[in-house]
Amino acid sequence: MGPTVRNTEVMNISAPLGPATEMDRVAEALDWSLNRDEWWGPARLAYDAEVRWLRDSARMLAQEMRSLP
Amino acid sequence: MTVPIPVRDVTYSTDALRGRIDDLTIALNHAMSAVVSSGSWATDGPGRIVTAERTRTLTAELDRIRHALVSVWMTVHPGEAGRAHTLGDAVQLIAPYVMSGPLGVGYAAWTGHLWPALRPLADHSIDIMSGGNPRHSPVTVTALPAQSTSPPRSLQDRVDRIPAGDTHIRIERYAEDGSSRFEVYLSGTNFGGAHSDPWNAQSNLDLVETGSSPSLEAVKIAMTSAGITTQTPVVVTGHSQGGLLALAIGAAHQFDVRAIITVGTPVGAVADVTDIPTVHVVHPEDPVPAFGGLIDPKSSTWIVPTPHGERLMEAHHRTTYSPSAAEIDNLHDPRIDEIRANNQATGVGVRRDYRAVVTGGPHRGTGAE
Repeated sequence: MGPTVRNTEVMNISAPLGPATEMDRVAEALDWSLNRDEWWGPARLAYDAEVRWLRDSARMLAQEMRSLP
Repeated sequence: MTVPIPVRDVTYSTDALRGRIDDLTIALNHAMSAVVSSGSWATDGPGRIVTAERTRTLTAELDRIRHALVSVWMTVHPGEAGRAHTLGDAVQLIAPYVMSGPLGVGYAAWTGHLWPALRPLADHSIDIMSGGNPRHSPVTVTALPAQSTSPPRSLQDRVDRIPAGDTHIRIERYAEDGSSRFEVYLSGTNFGGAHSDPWNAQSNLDLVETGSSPSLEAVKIAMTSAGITTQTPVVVTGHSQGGLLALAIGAAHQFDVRAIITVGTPVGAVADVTDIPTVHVVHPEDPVPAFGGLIDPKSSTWIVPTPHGERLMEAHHRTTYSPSAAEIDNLHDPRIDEIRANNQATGVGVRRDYRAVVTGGPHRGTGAE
């Protein structure tokens, strides 16, 4: 069962964020989507693999960006 | 990417789709900001260049998946205009819906957003066509030489066996415990077909308007000739007009039809067969199913984007539906697997193709009979 109340902080951005933080936000939005508690049915089976891959890639990219010299 | 949605679950699926599209829109906005922020890295060394390029690739993939979901969502949901405000590009979504008529169709052809523009036209034309009288044009059916074959084992197997060219009917017979099991495959419309071709475009109108057509008569003749009776189980698979024929054969209850599979068929134009398991596969980019109007939410329709972004008549082609059928096979949905298991023939079968020709006078389309 996923969260039922969404943290809307990401939707009220007033200052530019760095690319690593933006990638964190990408991963957060996709992670939210993967854990929607109303998300149901065979459609989930079809979409989740792609969205999970995108989320993991975004997380990895955020880490790599922070480790760059 | 595969995004099949069984319309049977239309409410849940469309709500889930809308939610996921919203999520992807938020993610895409952040990804695009990341692309902009990392744009200056191009001169900052190879590590940063590679990371910036991967950020752009991820963003493009996000955009591609979101676009595919929007395309599917527009196909299944009857209230696009009312709900479009929940999406980022609301104007783009609403435009084809508002512009029904020739302008809307032109816009749809240009953007690939076919269903919202074609639905109003299709519903209107179906209203006009309803209530006609059946017309009967005599047809002659010729059986071609038999060949041995092996049983189909999947949806894709069946779609691949739908005949092409001037043979519109293929029937396979498998011996089973002293009885027989049959598979029937019916081809789609020959849009350039002359009066003598039972599979020409006029037969589509005849089927929707009167429930009868020379192509339907040809199928019944071929099935009876092959030995199919009320006691022999048969699965009917059809592309486009072949799907309409499959539904008509099922609705007639003249044969023991155990399952109906259609691809690229305007299933919304005719009543679905509710007492026989059905699987309808449509591409949202295919204009032919869109001309059928709204899909019945109770039907077993699977909507799959074209494998390589094909649009219009390329999206309608039978061979384009082959990989889409494979995608559905690979999902192993219990309903599909059950249909497959219940209708699995065994052993070596006999395959025969049939050619049909209209032999009557030019009465079709006149309503004279």
